[in-house]
Amino acid sequence: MMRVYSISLLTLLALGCAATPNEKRAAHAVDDYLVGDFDSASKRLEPLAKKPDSNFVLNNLRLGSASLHRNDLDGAEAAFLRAHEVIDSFGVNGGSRAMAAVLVHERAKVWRGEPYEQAMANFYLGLVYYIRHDYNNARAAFENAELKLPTDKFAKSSPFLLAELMRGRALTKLGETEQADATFANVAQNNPALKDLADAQGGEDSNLLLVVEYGQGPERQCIGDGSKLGFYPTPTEAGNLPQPVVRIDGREEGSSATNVPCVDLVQLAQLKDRKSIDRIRSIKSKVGDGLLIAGGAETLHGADAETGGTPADLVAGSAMLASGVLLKAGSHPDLREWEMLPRSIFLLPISTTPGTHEVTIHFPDAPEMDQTWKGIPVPETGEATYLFRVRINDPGPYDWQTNTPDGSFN
Amino acid sequence: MRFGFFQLCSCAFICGSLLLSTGCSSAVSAGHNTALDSVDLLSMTDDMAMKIMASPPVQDAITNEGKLRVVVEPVENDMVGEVLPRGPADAFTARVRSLLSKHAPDQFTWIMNRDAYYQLRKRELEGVDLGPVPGAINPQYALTAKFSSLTDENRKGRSSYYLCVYSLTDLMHRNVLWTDKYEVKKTAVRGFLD
Repeated sequence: MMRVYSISLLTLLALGCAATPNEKRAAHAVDDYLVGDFDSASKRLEPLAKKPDSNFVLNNLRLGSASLHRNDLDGAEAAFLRAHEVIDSFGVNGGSRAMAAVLVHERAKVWRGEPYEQAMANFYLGLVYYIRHDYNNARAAFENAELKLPTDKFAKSSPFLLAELMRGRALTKLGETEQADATFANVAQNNPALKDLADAQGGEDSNLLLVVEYGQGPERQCIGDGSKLGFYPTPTEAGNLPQPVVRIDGREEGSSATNVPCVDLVQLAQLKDRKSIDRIRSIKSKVGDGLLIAGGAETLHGADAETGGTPADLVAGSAMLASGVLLKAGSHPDLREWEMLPRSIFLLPISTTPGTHEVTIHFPDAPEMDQTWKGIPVPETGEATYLFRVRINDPGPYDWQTNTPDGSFN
Repeated sequence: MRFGFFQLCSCAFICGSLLLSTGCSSAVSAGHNTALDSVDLLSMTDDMAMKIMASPPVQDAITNEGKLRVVVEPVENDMVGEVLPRGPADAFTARVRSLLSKHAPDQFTWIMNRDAYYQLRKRELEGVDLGPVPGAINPQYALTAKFSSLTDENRKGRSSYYLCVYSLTDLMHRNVLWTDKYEVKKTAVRGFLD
């Protein structure tokens, strides 16, 4: 009986701790992504994103990020839509999944992300539509992004001003100038640092929009007694974000007043709703502590025949210890995260001459983050939008390669 | 007896947990949301097709002008927080066209819209007869649809009220020959782990 018990316990612990082959493959894909090998990341993630397991949403978001940076807009749209469908659904983790998440480990549940990750998923979906000039769907996705972040009951609008700015831009493109102006005014009111940027967004004069991702998003970690979820770094630890300068063919364009970060995910990650599972983890941890103490005492008592201890006490004490270990192991929060998220995003609207240009994103206070792209097409009419991810010591220059079938730019 | 019972309970707990963790449902088979779905597609388009055919102004126009030449446009998305990708946006009007083609083939001539025509041409499908180029036939009417919604998401869940308006518009005179609506309210309540 003891052997069966031990084997079951070890199997359960192994199941809870070890990464599966699919998770290892996903981890390799994330590594590829972080060094800028988006093709390899996509190839690794494509089969994983089709499996409707507990990592379905996470793998589709990862694939969406990689596809977007490959300029594979169809692939990015499909991946973000698959994730969006589950993110927008409730009751996904019902029945046996809920039981497993409570009794065994939170990892048993289908990962749907924290509010800031859900908001970013919708932001990127909106960006795909915006790049394609499908402004109605872009507006809708940005609105949905704003709905994902919790607001206090006195707040008049969402704290996700990046999505609000982009919604305003989409409304401008749709000719809804009144609504757009109200949106930009709201952004300026909520964050005066974005006032110049918000004022600059309303005009139709920019024909190039650079969406620049900077830094690494917040990382999940266990805090307190190991049962609480926290995010590293905190806004204080992370420090200030540098401001970029845009150079088109070597000439500085745009205004430094508008080159300000539109979002800081390190701050947004702190806007977290306390959920029932957080309380359950805390209870499991405390009960686990109790079982470990009681089990330790019972085992010591059982081992000491002089104080009346018996083998039965020894086994009971060991079982309590094992159950305590099990509960403690199952009380850790789910640390799965969308590792591809940046810390911040800059929206840089530029008005320049049509044609093909060399674009440099220069950070005077962090020159190791500079990056240059050649062959960026700028249209005569309308607006072209490009997403860049600047990485440390990765200056390029890169050639812009489009995946659109007719070879045209977006 | 004491530790035998304890062992039994512990083993039952562990085995139960193992079964629970391995026997979970698929990520896409569980859960519900407030988006328009295939049930709405069927009931909405059935309703609209029936109402177009039963509309006295439409029947009068058919009597006076013969078969109506109609171009079908994808749905215009005016919904709050709900994306409507190209495929579904086409499906919500294409199914009305399909139903009318089937049930009233002598009343309507359907003309492919410009975007759909050029999209098909771009694919260079061999053996597909695309018919005349859109400029060669002037449609008299346009079947359009505009979906609007009011959506709210909070700590309790998400609710969406949809208003889907279909119209058959005389392109020459900008008269609305027929219009009708489909309304639906959907609510999804947050579950234990949402």
